[in-house]
Amino acid sequence: MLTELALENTGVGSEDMTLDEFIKLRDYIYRKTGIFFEEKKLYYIEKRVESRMKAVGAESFRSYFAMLRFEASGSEMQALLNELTVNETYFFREYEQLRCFAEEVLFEILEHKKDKNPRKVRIWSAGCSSGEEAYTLGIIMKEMTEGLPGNRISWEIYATDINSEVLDQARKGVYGPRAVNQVPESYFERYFRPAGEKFEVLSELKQNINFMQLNLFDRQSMAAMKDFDAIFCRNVLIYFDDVSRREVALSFYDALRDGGFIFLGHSESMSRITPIFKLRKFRNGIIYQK
Amino acid sequence: MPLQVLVVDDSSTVRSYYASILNKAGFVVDQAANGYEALEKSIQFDYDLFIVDINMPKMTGYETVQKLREDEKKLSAPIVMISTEGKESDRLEAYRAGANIYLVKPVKPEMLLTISKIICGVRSKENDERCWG
Amino acid sequence: MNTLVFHPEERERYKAAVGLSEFKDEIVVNCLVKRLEEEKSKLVQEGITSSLIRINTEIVANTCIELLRSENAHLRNTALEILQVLDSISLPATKKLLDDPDPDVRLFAVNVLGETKSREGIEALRQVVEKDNDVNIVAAAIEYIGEMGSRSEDREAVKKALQRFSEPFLEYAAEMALKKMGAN
Repeated sequence: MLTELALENTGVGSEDMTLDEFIKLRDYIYRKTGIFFEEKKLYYIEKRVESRMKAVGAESFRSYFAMLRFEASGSEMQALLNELTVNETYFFREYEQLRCFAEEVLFEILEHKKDKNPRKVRIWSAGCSSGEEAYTLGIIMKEMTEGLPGNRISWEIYATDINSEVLDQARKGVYGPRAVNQVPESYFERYFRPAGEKFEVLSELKQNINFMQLNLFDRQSMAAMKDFDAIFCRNVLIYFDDVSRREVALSFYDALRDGGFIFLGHSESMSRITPIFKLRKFRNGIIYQK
Repeated sequence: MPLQVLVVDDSSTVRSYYASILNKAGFVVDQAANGYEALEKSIQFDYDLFIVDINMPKMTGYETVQKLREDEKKLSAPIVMISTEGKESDRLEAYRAGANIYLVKPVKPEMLLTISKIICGVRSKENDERCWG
Repeated sequence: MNTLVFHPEERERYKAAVGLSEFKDEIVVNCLVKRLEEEKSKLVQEGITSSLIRINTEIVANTCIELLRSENAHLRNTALEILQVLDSISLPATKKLLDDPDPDVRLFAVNVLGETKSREGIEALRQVVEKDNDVNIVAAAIEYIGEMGSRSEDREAVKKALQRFSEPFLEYAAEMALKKMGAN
């Protein structure tokens, strides 16, 4: 597991992560991913690096870093990023961005379609996991489009993931209290019903959401995804290596209609991945557009 | 209010070098590794000064400065461009792109500090003596 | 397939470019590179880049080395990106660039080597630190050595560079690199 270069670097290190070690790691991560950790995050990083060191059997930070740096596959980098980024999923995660979508972007999308009847909005939740994001978007669509003047609005959400087990869970739509913690009170009453200790999403919400298995690297399946008005791919791309990330981003571009929007996690930057998207500034967020 | 600076260079050593010089003088320094990040940051935050390297991957320094200037609010923001060479043609191109000052790297701490202060309008007797002798 | 690269619609050219990643022939590589030079659409350029990376052969590396001298900054930067990913395949050709009289070319070579995962690449960077006479190039190499270096030769090389130049920036770069490599 440890490469030759890593073996060169073994040595007895102290327990705590030194500032120099932190900076070395921080600079490397920033260069490779654009994710920047301030010095005050030292303790946070230290704990997670220790966890990875145990997992790979590295005896010192030096040998761990060497492994991280020189591993051909780059899989430790993915594993480390997994540890470092908060990947808990819950309803209404990244509220501000969702607000930007609901209050600003959506209206631009509807405006673009104003002469169509019905005005059909297509949204893709890529890497949807257990479905919290997809249902959140469903709630937003219901709340924001019902009763609007003008031509009838119809919408559908495609929620995809590579993992079929997690999709089964998503289809059931049953969630524990932590997942629904951020749901605004009125929406909670309107869209959930108790299911034992948990809560189930109402079937009227499930109607317009299609959960399907999809591998983002599978060119054929990706080619079938077309004409989307918005793609949500939040905190998914960071786990891919540079080469794959660009390929997936290009596929997303292709899957959007002209003027479509793509939403990434707040610490992610599309421009690092590819320059083809335009940057749009809205009151409540910065979104990428085709 | 402390002055906010955005330093744009693909080298982390260069960025932290400028940051360490400017921090000591009371500037608050943000960093961007390329032109795209610089544009994104400049949309989100207001800067009193931009220091931009010419020789960068993804988006050249010239393009970065041009795009910065496209934003109305930044038409008059001070921009220092830094290059590895002192060629007349490069200098001209930098000014055409919209830079106010052109420096050649490696930059000496005193030069960076003095230029930054002057360009931001921070004048002091000490500054004047250094600049004008 | 090659002719699709001349299609009037951007999306079709993009798909063609991406489809060509399956082929490793020299003809295909040359075609892709030529299109890269002439293509105006960013989407298609990106598709070509991603294909060249996937093809991943010496021919790709050698053609990109040539592109480093292009007048077009965008082409130079794309070539750099591809060479960085190709790493071991581009190593021999990249090392040759370290003797180039043009400092811009040598700096590109250093930036390609900066992403290397091989000891040979680190060695090459160390040679730059020891021998190059351009202070900016030495500083760039020092930054990468700081991240990758582990042997005493690496540390020594950085310390010796301090004696060759008396520039505050280089002193700073050396200090940072030595800290990253750790005392001892």
